[in-house]
Amino acid sequence: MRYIPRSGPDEINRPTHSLLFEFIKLLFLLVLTIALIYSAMGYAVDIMAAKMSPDTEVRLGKFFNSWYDKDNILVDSPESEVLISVLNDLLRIIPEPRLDYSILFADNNSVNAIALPGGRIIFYKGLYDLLKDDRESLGFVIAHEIGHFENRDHLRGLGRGALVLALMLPFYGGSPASAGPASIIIDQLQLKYSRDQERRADKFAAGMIEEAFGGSGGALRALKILGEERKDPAVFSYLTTHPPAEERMTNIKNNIF
Amino acid sequence: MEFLLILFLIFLGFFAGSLNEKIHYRKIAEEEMKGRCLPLVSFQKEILYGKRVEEAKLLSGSVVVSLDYFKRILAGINNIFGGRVSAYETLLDRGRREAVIRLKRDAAGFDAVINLRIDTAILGGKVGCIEVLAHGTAVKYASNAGG
Repeated sequence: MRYIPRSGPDEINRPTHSLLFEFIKLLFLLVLTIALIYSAMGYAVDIMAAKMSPDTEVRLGKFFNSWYDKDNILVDSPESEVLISVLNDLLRIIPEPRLDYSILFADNNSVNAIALPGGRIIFYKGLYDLLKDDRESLGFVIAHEIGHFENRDHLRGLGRGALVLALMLPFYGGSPASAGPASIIIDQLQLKYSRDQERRADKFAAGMIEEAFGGSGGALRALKILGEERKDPAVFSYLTTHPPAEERMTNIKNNIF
Repeated sequence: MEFLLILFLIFLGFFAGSLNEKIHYRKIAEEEMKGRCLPLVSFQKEILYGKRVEEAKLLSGSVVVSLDYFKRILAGINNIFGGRVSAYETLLDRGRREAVIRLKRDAAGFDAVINLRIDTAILGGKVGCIEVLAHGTAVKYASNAGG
């Protein structure tokens, strides 16, 4: 037997198609699959949140309240008196509040206010200092949080948080390399949902302060200050939980004026 | 920020990985041309055809190669939907051919390599890194055996 050397490399095992095109095709399929599952399960979560009774929500709230109570940041101060007074002004225009609302002042420099299940609002010193005793601006922020309660956004948010964990488990367990893109897709769906919730809460708050204070000047002042504080470039707005301040101000102007 | 980091790594993986692969394939082709005259077979003794072997030596060539981030993600998504995992095909192809080239480099002065075997091992868990080991027996025919 004679050995005859062949020239030229053997390329039969090399894929000939574009891997980038294959990636785009599969990514599209992945986005579609996750979006479908997220929407269907999210819809179920929204139904459950809508059906939760105030008593159940209060029981759930006790669990979260205990976290904040342990931190020792909730204090009685002149600021808490102002906040309670603004809250009472707002509650006068809700004939039958769904929950027994309360507000607490947190001695913490975070620029934030949060709504906990059961009707408790926590207003942080960082945000209060920015708004500087402007009752209408404070009123807008509190009304915005009440809007979250009335729309049951906090319950939907909790449910969807659990949903995200459930959705990510198969990726981490079965195909960890795909967990990165899957988490980006799920995060984007969550952020989009969160921004929609914020828009609905703004709409609710705008109507409430219009009735309570006779105008929406406080809302625009508060949003202007928050926009200047955060200074997020508009290009990154899709990475944030809230819409850009400019958009929120425009929405409020268009809805009211 | 995680979003941007993953996106950056995917782009980096795609461009750097494609460039690396292109350069590697070019080198593989050059080396394969250089070593094409040495018979390299997987059977054990048929090539000898009665020739007397003067010298034999166990040879091995090993290479460790890794997937780039882009291909790792692509393979990950493939794992969900199934089908041909093209991202791994080039990794294995490059690994096998490079390992054989390295084995041949050690075969200088021999007439053939018989009983070639190629093994693959996964390194580093789920990192997408493999070792390919080519091993075989190099033989040198006795000078009076003819050719």
